[in-house]
Amino acid sequence: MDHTYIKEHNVVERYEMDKLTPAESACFEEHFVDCPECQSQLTTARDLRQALRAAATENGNLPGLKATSPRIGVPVSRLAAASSAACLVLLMVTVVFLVRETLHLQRQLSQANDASRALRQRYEAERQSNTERQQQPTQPGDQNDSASGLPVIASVFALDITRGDESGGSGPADRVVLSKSPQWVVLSLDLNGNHFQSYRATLAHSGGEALWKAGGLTPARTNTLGLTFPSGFFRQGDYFLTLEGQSRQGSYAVAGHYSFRVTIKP
Amino acid sequence: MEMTSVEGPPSRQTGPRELALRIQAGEPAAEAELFERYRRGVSTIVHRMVRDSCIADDLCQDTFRLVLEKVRRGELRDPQKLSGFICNIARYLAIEHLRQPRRTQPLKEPGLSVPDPKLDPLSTLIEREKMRAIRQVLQEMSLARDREVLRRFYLEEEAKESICADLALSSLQFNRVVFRARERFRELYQQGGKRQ
Repeated sequence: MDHTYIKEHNVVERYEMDKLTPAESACFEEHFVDCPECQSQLTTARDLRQALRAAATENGNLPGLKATSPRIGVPVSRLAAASSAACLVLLMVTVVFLVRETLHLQRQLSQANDASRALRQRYEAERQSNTERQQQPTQPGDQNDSASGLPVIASVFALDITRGDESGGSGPADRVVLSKSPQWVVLSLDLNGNHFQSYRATLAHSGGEALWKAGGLTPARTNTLGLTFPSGFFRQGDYFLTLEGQSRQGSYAVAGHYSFRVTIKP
Repeated sequence: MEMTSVEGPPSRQTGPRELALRIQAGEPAAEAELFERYRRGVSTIVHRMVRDSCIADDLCQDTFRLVLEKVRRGELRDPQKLSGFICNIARYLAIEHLRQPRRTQPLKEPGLSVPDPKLDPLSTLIEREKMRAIRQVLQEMSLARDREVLRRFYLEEEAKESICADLALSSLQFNRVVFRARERFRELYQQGGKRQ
């Protein structure tokens, strides 16, 4: 290894930076161990590098010593331009997105305000009507059932079990006399000593046509069973009601027959 | 820390071959010449490997003792290759040292005070002088491109080819920039040393 080669290939600096191959390094050492000039250059190169490093660390604004981003084979200016363009695009996309989002939220807010206004108006109207209703004087006959419009007071008719021969002659013994005004009609059935847990009842017209049927009926403590109908359910005529009791085994047995005549007062 | 002052070149009256032959002949002056001639180079090689000045000094002494013994005994087959022989022995001893388990233990006694090398006035002075020199070198560089060459080559340790390709420099231009900076730095540093 001679000086020309050493200078041309910056061997001194590369040795100092430990960038020579082992063979190159050994070759250079063999030369410089007996070469004061190379030894001096090596010392200077080391001092220069140390000083540059210290200067860069201590004061990064020394001319030409500003730290740069890692190189990836693209010139710094081109890299910076590409980064700036990317940042600009990103910024624009963000701004567009924010504007769209703001408009959307404003629309939603407007709709919510409209809905709120409508609800407030409706509330005010209902509150006003309630107030007016409360201020009206109480009228007689206001005891109507709110659900059906029928008076709360009901007419109760007790029905006895029909014996076998009672159906002939003048017709049913029990009479149900109703007025034209709507009311509740309670048919109170005498169970005549039956003690079933529950009953089912079938109401038929005298012609045999079944009009109404209900199950799971439980008797009162007085051993009677009450069936409630709106008076409008009945027409003038004879009716026939069959009551069946459910035994503990679940089977049904006839508990009694009831017949009655409905008369509607003019 | 090694001082950067440049020593005068040792006398080159004899080449390696003659020097080795004079040592073999038992000439004490030749042995002293060998030591003076190779001391700095051997120290650099050994220090670069062990990274410790005291150990490097010891290994340097061992190297010359071993070299002289071997040369006296005629174990140097080709006297022309004296430099390579010395380098090999220096590297061998440094490697042997690195292979051995550590003979020293760190001090554990909290009461013992060890001088901080950073507070050494001479070291501080030398560092300051280097900083001054490098600042001036950089300020004197009229081209930003030259400063960039220095930064990328010495600090970022980029390959010469890459820097040349990036800055459109020829190898000769690159070498010129590095050479000028290095020489100017040495000049300024030596001037500062003389002023002190």
